[in-house]
Amino acid sequence: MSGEARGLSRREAIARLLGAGIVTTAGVDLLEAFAAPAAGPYRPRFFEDADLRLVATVASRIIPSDETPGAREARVEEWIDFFTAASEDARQTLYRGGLARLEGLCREHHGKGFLALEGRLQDEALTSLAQSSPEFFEAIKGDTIVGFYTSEIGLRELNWGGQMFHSECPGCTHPEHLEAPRDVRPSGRPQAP
Amino acid sequence: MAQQSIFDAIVVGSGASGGWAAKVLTEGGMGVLMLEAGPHRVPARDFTEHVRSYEVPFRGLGDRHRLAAEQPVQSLCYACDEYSSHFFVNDHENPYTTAEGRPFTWIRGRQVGGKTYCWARESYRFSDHEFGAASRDGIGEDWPFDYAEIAPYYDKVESFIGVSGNRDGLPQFPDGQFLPPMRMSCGEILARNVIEARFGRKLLIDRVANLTAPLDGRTPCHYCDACQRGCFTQSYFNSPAFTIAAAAATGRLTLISDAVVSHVNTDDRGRATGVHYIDRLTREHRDLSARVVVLAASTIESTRIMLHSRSAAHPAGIANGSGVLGHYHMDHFTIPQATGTLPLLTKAERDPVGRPCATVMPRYQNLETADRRFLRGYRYDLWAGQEHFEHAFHTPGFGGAFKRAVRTRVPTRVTMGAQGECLPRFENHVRLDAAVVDAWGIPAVHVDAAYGDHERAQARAMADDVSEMVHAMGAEDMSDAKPEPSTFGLNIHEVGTARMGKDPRTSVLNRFNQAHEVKNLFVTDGACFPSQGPYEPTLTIMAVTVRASEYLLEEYRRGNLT
Repeated sequence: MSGEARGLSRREAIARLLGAGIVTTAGVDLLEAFAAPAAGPYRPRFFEDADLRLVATVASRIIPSDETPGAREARVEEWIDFFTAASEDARQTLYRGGLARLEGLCREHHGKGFLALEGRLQDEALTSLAQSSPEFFEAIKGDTIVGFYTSEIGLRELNWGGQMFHSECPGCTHPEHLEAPRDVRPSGRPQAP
Repeated sequence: MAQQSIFDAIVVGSGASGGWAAKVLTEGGMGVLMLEAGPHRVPARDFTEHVRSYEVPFRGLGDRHRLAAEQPVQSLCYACDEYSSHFFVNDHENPYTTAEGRPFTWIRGRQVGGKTYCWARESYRFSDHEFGAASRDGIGEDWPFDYAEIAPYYDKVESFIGVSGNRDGLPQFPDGQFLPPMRMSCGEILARNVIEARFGRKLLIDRVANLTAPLDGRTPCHYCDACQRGCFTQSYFNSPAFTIAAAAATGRLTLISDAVVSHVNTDDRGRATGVHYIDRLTREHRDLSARVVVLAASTIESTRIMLHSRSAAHPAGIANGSGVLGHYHMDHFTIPQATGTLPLLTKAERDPVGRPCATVMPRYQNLETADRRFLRGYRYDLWAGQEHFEHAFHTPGFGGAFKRAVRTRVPTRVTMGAQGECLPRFENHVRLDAAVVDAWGIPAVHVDAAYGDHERAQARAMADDVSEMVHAMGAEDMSDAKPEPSTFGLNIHEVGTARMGKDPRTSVLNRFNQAHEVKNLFVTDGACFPSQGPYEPTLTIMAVTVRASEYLLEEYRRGNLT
């Protein structure tokens, strides 16, 4: 039971990512293809090359490369391509429509596509997208989160220590926690014992 | 080879119970044949506890297409994921049916080791509040022994498997032979303090079958936090590394894997003569003979084998003159948990991760004073700590500020749930399905079980109490617990269906797990439980198995079983 008790469950995480969706395409072939990538540049499975660049750029605005590496270094677009290719039709349609809306929105306001805009305007376009197409924005943000923070770079970004060897049981070593607080008000402030 | 010999005993099943039966019987001098329906697991291929998310194609989310096609039921289990789904059965090879409107989720692991590779390892002793529950409230039957009688067997099991835990001194939650306890997290310390100060209740570190100190040459846990994927260092109890290894060391164990047992063979007088099995891979049928048969195939599987063992002497299934076989099926229920964040503990630093347990609040209801709302009781689970990156989903915006916030404002999440006792009811039962067979032609089971007013009343009280306690911790962004019992079976604590008892008219097994009607047939797994209490069954299954096996050994030596 404790495994289930610990934090957000995998099922919840998947449900959050997929909505009610279930991945339904030829997963086994994809798995083999992913396990042994061909030499050379990544060959997308779902997106056209132009859309893959679009996805990569959106991901890099969501998790930019700044004082630490970002979505670009983690090649998040490859994960999104792989995962979308293995997703159900509804999710693939969401991506196709969402990317088209993003492009349309940019051409409408600036007369050129998302990739041709400078970073500030790209961010404006994404803010606008988040308001007009919240479902798609949350999907691509969620996929970027998963793709980045489950990558080797992302694990390092969060200093995540799971699946490693530790010499002693992790746990609280703070004397101030062991002593107090004896009680906490609903406001979350400590209260004298 | 095997077909020509007559073994002293056949043990069907190689999990927590079968492993102990084999160990006790072989160490006592008996020649034992163990049959396991699944394959051997190979650590180098099958253990994945150090595989990281970027090393698997679906980053741990799993290939939903494959899972939906092959394991639609098994993948409902939290432990059946992209790293570990091979420890669970293929649902199409292993069908079962359920009654209309009464769903049942049957999670199964078929391999040498059974479910001990992927169990949650919580190991709690029952007390006389559990063993003698029926005498207190008149529901069901008492266990045919009390705590004092089983306590030495708990000692033996804990000393061998290694259980880490704290000696807490609570009469309803007996202490055992513990290795050093694990440590609570900051959030759990806060929760413990609030719960004790506000509610006068005790929150304790889990007691789990993970080594926190060296034991019999095994190294302690290294806190990689992925026990359900196997363990290269053998630092948590699983039967292949512990009990089966000990049985094999005697030289008196024969183990046949991939042997799907269909039924127990009997002679004219109805005594067990061995078993009939089908090779999982070749589909060949074979009979094997033994003087004693021990069923330890897991609760429903053992009962299924018995129901399928029909003969002139046993027209309704072996040892089922009482008509009780298959009945009084139980599984714990849980409720959707309360969860929130503890704002006091949000910080930039990452806490160390990897402790393979959580905390537990033992049952406090209906002990010395009666709760009017429901019978028996429940216990709570609480976990608090930092999650890997789930807080990113709750962090607004995007860009550099978003990325920094995810890195530098790491919340501590607290989740609290409860697990309640299901009352034993005759109508909750399993039987053979006349129309459906598994991949080996063996009749599937039909499960007809549901929770009732008692469990729903407990669930309401659980939800209220859990939400109240988590609110009192000052949790924010809370979602409350909900008074909805989980699907029957999903908690994987299924017990009952071949219960022990003193009266052969109302039970299948006697006080030593021996069939009332077939003296050389024993059933040692969870099927024997007359009631289940609110605690995990595995430690008690193991203690009961040791007790039954020692009795079997003595009876065999005296010639009383042949």
